[in-house]
Amino acid sequence: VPRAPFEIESAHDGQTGRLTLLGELDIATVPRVEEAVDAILQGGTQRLTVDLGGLGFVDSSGLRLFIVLQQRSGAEGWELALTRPQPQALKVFRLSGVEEDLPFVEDASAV
Amino acid sequence: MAPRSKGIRSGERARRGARGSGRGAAVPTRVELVLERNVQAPAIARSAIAEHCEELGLGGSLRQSLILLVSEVVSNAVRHSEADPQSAVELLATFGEKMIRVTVTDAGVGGSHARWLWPISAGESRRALGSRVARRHESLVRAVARLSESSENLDLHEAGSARPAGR
Repeated sequence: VPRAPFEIESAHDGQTGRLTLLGELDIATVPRVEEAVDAILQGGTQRLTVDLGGLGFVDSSGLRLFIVLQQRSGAEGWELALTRPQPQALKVFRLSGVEEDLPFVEDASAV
Repeated sequence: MAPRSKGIRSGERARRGARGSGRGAAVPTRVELVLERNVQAPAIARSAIAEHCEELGLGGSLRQSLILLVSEVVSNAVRHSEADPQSAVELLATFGEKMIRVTVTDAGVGGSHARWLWPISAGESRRALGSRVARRHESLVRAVARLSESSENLDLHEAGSARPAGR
């Protein structure tokens, strides 16, 4: 039985960090993103961009993850930016109304 | 963790000729899965549904909605049920000419535990995003139905029973 491939690429330079998510985000893979976020923040990242451009599927636990990250960034004093996922995944953000409440940026390098 | 299902029967009571014939294949086909109750189950279910949609020539928004729906339903069964962790989650998706029916049978304690839950709690949403989001506590079924431009063909049927997982 094939398992949905999922990868996280992590990079940081000084206080600027980037996580690139590739694959499908669901209850199996959300915890991996949470771990990666914790790790990069512990490394001193103050401005974190999470690149969703490689996500082909996001479920409601994925939506919840980004809402929680946004809350965390405010509470903990770091900056979060998100780039949009592929159209079929973006639809879930749009139709749930979550998109406009999240810090999406047009250009991932803008942060 | 072994990400495998106990068994997959992607039964097709259809002629093979359904391939590529587009929506409205003349006879019902079905995907039936018996899934281990773990976090890999949604991905397995999505994969099976996607494959079946491809065989039937179903694409676009209908396919996306169906995959999301099935994923959420199976996720909810995995995460929220009080059922024995060793019990299976059974998914049956029936593809008819005009309708797709999705049924999750979750051998939860005391009977039906198939639920559609939007996992953002009202209190949390209020704190996080204000009342606009808190009001958005509609069922996932309605939410995913809106994803489809052809929602009239997507009958989202929820069902559960106390049937033992062992069938």
